Amino acid sequence: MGYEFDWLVLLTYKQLLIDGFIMTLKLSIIGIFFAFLLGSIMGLARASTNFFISLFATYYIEFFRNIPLIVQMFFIYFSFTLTDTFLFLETIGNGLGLENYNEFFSALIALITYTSTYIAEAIRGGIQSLPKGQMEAAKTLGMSYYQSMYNIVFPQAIKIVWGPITSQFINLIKNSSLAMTIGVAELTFQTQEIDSITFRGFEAATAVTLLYLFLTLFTSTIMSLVDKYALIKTSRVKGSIR
Amino acid sequence: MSDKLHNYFEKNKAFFFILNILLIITLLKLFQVYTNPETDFASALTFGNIKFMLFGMEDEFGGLALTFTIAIVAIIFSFIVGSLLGVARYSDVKIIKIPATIYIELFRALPLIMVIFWVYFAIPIVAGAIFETKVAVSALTSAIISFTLFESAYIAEIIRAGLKSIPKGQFEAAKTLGMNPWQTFTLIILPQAYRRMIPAILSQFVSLFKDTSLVYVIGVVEFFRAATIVNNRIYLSFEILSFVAIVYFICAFTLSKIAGQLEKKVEKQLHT
Amino acid sequence: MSECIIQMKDIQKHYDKFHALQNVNFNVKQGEIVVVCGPSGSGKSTLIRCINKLEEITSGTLIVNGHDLADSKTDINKVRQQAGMVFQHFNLFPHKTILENITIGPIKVKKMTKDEANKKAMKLLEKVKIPHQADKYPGELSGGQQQRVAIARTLAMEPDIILFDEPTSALDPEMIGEVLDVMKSLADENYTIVCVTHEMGFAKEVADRIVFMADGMILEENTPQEFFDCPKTDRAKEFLSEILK
Repeated sequence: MGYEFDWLVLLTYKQLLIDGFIMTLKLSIIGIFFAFLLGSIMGLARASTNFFISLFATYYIEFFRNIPLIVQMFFIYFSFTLTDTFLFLETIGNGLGLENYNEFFSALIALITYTSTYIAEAIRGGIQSLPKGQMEAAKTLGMSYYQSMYNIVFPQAIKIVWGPITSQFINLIKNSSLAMTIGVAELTFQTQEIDSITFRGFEAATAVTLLYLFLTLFTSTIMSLVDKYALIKTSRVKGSIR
Repeated sequence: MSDKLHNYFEKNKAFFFILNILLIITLLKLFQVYTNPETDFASALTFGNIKFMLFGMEDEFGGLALTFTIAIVAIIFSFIVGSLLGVARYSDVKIIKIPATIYIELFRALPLIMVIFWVYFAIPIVAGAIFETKVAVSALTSAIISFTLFESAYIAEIIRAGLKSIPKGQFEAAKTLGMNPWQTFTLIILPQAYRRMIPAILSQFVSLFKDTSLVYVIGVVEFFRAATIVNNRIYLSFEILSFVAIVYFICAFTLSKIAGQLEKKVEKQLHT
Repeated sequence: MSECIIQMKDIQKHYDKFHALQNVNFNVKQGEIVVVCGPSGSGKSTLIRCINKLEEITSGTLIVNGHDLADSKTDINKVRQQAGMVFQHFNLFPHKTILENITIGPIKVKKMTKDEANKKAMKLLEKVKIPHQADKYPGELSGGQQQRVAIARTLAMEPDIILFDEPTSALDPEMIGEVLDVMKSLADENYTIVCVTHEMGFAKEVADRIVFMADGMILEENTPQEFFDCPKTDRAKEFLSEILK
């Protein structure tokens, strides 16, 4: 046997794995929240009937989608010192228990802008797949554009594209691994850490793989639950398409 | 009035396309003037530097040219492996369906950067363990293997979706003509599935193109790595990374627009 | 002469190169019931969709209930409250119950309280004869029932004008009757009704005036009696012979 597995290293260095996992969680949870928020706004803008608003949203989406995520992270991190420009980030960073504010926030901002473009496109798809009659009926009742969107269009659109949005959330969790290239000590970073100390990269990678699998499955489950209990019911949406 | 503008733009697409790119570059210029007023693009983007970033070192193949090469080679391999996996998962034969499913779900749950590391470090170990030989693979080879392993899982799902969209009647017709499963798939089903899947596969290619930047981590000198090497010498991050961002944007944007045009052509074909 | 509640003067509507409405002059008195008919593509749907600004006219004057639709100061949402519309494909909100479908307009737009709105809605459901469906969802109702809910939804906003865009065209034959019955009962009340339809029986019974359109123009306008007995243009004669087969 050319290679001897030593799984006990994982126990010895479990703190590194835990730290990495928590860092990934921080990036993921905050990232998902803001990516969804920004993505929804951009998706609505992109679906807007106002030519200039939708054009602006198109520019935003194309710009942040076509530049690789790692390039965005590097650009923010190396070109600016975020905490100098935005002092409040330091306070937030402290609140989150971070040590390297600039790395973390650079990675976070890039993750948000990048993922929001995909969420925006998904939401736009959902809005445009609804029959036009829904918006028209709302308008004929005298509802403003915003009332129509909020009460009628958006709830149905979100339901339709909940699957693709779940995929994007999972992508964000996976993409958080890129933060390691600018020094954020998240899960993938820890694989290398453990490997460089113990030369047991294989075991470390296995553990980290399982942790990512867990995160992915957990997210899918939560999203399914939200779908079941918080979103409108499917049969309702199908029924309208006559 | 905005309607008229809109109509005008619809009719002059090429003009609009170039206008887009110019507008974005202008906005970026404004951004730069505001955030980093003192820039030194001249020393950053010397002829030598640009040549290095686009083509790599004198006697080696690297830079943007390598980026494209990796993407094309990887997509071809992924396509082959992905097709097999997709058909395997689609089939009802448990012995091939289950391993295919496990493979696909595993690689779709992993970050690409992890796969890249994994493969790079695991190959010598696995080779050593199974074949009892000392094998060293170049970073480039390992990169292509990683991409193939990773992307094939996604292509497999695209193919499977395409297969599902084919009416059962096609299979039945092939059966009644006396074809065996292999013939059915290669002659009747897959050609139809591929046509439907072209848009999704093309968009996967654009993703792959952007993901080549990740091989930075194992030292392959493609475009991104080349740019960081230049940057480590001259420390003009803003200038170099702006250049990188713009080049990636132009390439990926153009590729996705071409993909969009192809998609329209395919749609026309499907509906004749 | 009383001010017409709907005044359309020299209306032109273009979709790019297609001239959908040509030189349309159309006036409706308060309380009148007008049926608009004609072959498909004649512009009849476009006509009524311009009245509540779902479509925008290219040129001409359009005044609805005293509001000039071309004036940028006009609050189109207010106008739409006064001119309700019933669609060919019902367009009920699938994620809301029948009751909610009817109350959402009054609550969100007219700022009614929920209790008030619910009471009103139940009364309207009784009027359209389906009060027991209040807590169901649109997907569970038949087409005829859905359309009746759609009518109730429109009535809940207490409009002065009701626009019908081929309300029975998407219904199975056996359900057309129940919807027409509701529409007929509305005719006895004080609503101004403009109805695009192929149901000539309904027109004969209830309409004050029939407007016949083809190729984006109004070709004939007459009382139902005169229109059916002696159509003046060849197009109208053609149309009637097809319809009354």
